[in-house]
Amino acid sequence: MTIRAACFVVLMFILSPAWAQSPFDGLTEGDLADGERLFRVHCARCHGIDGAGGEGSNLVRSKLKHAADDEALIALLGDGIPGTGMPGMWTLDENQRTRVAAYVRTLGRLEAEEMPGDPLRGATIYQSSGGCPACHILEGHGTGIGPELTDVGDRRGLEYLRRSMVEPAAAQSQTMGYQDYLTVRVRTADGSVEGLRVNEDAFTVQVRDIGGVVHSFRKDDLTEFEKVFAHSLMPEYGTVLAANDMDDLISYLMSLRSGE
Amino acid sequence: MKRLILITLALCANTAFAQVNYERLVNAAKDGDNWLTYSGTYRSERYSPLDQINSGNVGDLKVIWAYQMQPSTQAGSGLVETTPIVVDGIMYLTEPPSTVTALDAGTGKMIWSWTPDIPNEVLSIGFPRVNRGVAVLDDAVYVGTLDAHLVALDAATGAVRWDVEVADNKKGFALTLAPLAIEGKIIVGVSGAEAGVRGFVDAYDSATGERIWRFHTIPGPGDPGSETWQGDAWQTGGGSTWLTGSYDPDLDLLYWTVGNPAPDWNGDVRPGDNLYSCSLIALDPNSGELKWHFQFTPHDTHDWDANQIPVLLDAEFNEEDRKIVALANRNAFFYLLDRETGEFLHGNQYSKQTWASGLDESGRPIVLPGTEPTYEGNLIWPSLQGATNWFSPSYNPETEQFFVATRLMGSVYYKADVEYEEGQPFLGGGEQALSGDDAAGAIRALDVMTGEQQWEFMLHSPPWAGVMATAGGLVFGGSNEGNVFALDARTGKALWDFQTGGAVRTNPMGFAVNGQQRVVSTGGNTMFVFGLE
Repeated sequence: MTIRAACFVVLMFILSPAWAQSPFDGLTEGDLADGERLFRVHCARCHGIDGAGGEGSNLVRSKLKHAADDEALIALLGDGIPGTGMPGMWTLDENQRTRVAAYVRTLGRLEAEEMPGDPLRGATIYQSSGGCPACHILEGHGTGIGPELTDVGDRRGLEYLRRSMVEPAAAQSQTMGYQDYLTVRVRTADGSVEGLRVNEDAFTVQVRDIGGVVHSFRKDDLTEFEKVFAHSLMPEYGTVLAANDMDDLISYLMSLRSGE
Repeated sequence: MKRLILITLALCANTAFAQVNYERLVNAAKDGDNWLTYSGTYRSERYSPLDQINSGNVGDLKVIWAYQMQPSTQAGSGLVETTPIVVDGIMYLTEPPSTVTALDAGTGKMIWSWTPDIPNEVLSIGFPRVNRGVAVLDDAVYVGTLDAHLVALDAATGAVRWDVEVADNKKGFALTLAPLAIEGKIIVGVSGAEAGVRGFVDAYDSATGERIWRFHTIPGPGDPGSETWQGDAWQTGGGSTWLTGSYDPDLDLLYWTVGNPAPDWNGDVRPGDNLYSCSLIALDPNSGELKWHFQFTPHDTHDWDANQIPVLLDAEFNEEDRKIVALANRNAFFYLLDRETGEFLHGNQYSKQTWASGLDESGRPIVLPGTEPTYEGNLIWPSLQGATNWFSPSYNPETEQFFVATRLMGSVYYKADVEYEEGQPFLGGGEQALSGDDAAGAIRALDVMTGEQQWEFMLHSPPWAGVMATAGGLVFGGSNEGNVFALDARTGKALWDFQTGGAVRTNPMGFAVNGQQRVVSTGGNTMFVFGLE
């Protein structure tokens, strides 16, 4: 049993009256260890091996946005979250989902990751040398070319955020396997457009250009259609910001949370 | 007054409900105005002989009417996989999970609708709460329900004629397939291998609901094929039969496909070939006796059910007239078998796969080492959803083209330890599919006698919708992104498309009403009926 699982069992004992109605009642150390094993097989790819987030949400939190209580978390594991990259885990039975949910709850009882810099200073960098509002919306302010950063500390882990700033082309987020901010270049008889793929099917593609204008094309009308997978419109901030500024900016972004 | 009565009677006769005797089913291929079985005919060609809509005018196709289904709000409900049946101006379709509805095929207006009383705690382990359609015979409509009943409804009113329990849903059995009606009998198969059921095919008396025979797809001790199992593994061996089969009235043989062995991904607990999992079986419809079998994927560990449509065709093979059954399998190989004997005639890869170097002379796959699921994960093509799946291929007997909606996707396969518990998932692992930008789909046209690809039309993602060819030189299909489309059957070029606004998860079908050809597809929970006017 890991230390984390042991802590959880102790916590369950200490808090037993409060846990009287918990779906986790009766779980053993072995169940928790099994939950951790299942987590590593099914969840770690997106949520990180330690659950601190990656492409998927940071689960090292006492409250989870889509799971108000333990029962909701177990149900969510079965059903997934519509409209997100979170699939339903239909290959796990209810007992297994309960063990995974119990393990996920232990993650929220850990100390949060230690921040590498000063979030207050990072807030200033965000607005000034970082130039982030030019492409991101935060609490309603900025331009929505890249992902909205309100609550980004809930949705991403520290290391993922660092990687997405240093090597943005290599740290592209996905939804159901589709790159969220894929750069595409299209050419028609009337000219060319470069921008981000908004949507696509077998016959059409919708592209948002750097000015925020959405263009829709019939693929039949395109003379060129290139998907640029190893590319991001996001600048490589490792060459823009000093190391300590980068730490401060990441610390600021990780502090952007809701629901706690 | 007498004249008025006669006119009234004549009108009534024109809208008589589902007078589909067995002879009409046998001759369905000559009756293009109607669509009388799940796959159109007993040969399962899913081919419309109508040519009013053709490559010259398909660009003018428009929505004539639409019907919005009201799926249950239960988790996992709502996927529409039905193929409607059309008989003399009346359409019979199913809505998820097990509702049957009769519509006026000319206007879409409802005639009747029947919904069974299914318990909230109904099990559907390993599949969504779907239904693929009904069968009609004489004046009754037959439907299998999610809680594993077979029900006969009065075609005119939807009233229940009889209702029998096929199997115990608490063990994981369910009926999602469209039944097959033959002379005096209704044939059904079951879902449930992901719960470790022991699969079977059943025949019921169409008039009374009395069970006539049952063929277990997993042989018991002493039965032929039992040597391919060890210990008690056969009792939970899977082999579900969840897709409608085909029928040859001349040979009087039923062709039914069998799904994966259980547990799915951990084969250690069931050594051997695990007959008749992942096989095509030929049954005597009078007795249920097995006449022959062909196993596509011995000892499957990737969940590659063989539940695909077996298409019957007669053609010259090696300068000899043969009665053939063709099948594009989930395991990425295309097969031709002699349907009198089960002899392997031909096989070739039709989609990306990384698990076999080919097929040997008997059609058995030559499995590459290191392609099993592992505890750490093992990347293999195709994914567990297969190179194709339950959705139908189409065969144009005039051009000898076989069209198949193909999934181009790999999976990381995991193995896990597992113990059987009644009514619980019995899987032994799982997958992590390479989805999204790492996957794609294609409609592919194959020369049926060689399996060689003639053309492909690429789709944005691996499809969950089948295809239908028509005598108008068209192939209709659908996509997850909501497109319904028509391709030129000679070239694969898209000639028409329509955005439905919801994922297409059905097989197209066609009929005619009031002299107008119609093509049917769905998008999300809505059924669309297309025509020229």
